[in-house]
Amino acid sequence: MTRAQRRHHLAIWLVLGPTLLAGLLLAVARRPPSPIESRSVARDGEHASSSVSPAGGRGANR
Amino acid sequence: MSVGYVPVQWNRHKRVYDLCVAVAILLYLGVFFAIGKLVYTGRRAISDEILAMRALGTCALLLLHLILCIGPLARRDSRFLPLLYNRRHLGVVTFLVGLAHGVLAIIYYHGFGRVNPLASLLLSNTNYTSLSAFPFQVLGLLALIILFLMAATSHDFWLKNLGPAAWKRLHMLIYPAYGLLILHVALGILQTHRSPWLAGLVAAGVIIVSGLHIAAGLSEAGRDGRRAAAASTGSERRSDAPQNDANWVDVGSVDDLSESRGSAICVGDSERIAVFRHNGGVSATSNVCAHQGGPLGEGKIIDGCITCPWHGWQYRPADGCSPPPFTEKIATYRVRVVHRRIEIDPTPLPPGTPVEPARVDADAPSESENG
Repeated sequence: MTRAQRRHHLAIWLVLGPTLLAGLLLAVARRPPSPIESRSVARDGEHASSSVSPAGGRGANR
Repeated sequence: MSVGYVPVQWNRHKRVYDLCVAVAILLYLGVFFAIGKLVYTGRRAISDEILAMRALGTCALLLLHLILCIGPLARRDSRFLPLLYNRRHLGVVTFLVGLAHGVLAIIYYHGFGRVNPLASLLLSNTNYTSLSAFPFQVLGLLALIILFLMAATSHDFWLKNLGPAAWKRLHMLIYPAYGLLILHVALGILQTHRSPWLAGLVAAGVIIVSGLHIAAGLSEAGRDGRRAAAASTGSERRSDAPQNDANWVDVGSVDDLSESRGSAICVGDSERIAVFRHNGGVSATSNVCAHQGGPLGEGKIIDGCITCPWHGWQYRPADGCSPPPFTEKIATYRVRVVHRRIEIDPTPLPPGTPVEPARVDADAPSESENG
């Protein structure tokens, strides 16, 4: 690799690494309550139309 | 190298490498499937299709991490070079495994309605403002398209026809593809699969890949700085040289170079220069291989030719030309040996310019001449 390419790669990773980590942390931290919690809420009658489908909810079958 | 078109230039190394990769992938898929069947039982049981989807998805992600780690590892330690030699095959395999994961997902989640499965994938979920319900499958599709472009153009035929600069720019798309896949996982499976070890594994992967690249980049920048400082000291040592010698830079002793081995030196802010000792002579060429920019100075002389440590492309030390029938050329440099010190004129000559190697055994100062 040329010197310019090496500098380019280094700059990319100095930006990409922390950005991806921050994105990952944000996505995990902002997760909604788990489906089990939703079901308990629905049973209490506060949310009769829970978003949990009979199939198990979005992504439950992934 | 770039003569004729052969779909795959097989040799023993490539066969062994590919066989190991195929066995490792099949083993991984089998073990993942078996463990999945043991772990997900009773009410937690999941279908074979889902398990296969997860096995293929994690396999593709692992392979991509491995591919991204090979470059910086090989730059830091030559023992990893054999992995670099056939990295392109690993890239194509990663695309195929990812494709199998994608096709399975599209059929399973979008293939049973009246809408075209691909249209369903793109249009059924448009919650682009929600993190938890983000259409993460679109991210995976985009990453797969990039991986396809890279796999399809990985052959040297495309490198030759697109030109090294355009080809390299195209293959730098691996970075956005990696970012898209991490987000595909973060906004997909990590939204529903809540065990902390899974999120931790993904984070560890990002830290390892980016950490290795950053460490390799910083270490090379430091090495370049030290080499430039050493070369600068060499120049100062010769400050009493005649005026017409001003361009010559002392880059070290011939005794520091082993026979048929090279060394990469750095002069100021210019590109690295590869210096080789061979058959009693010293030659200097560009350190950047015309193929994929491999570090020629870390290679050795095989069959009288400088051989790139990455993919084995070869150049004659005396003129920087690949041996016939190949046509690649790299820049050469004027070099001379004065009292067993190697001196180089750091101005690159046009690629393919013949330069007589400076003789090591001559006691008197000897200088190679252009032409």
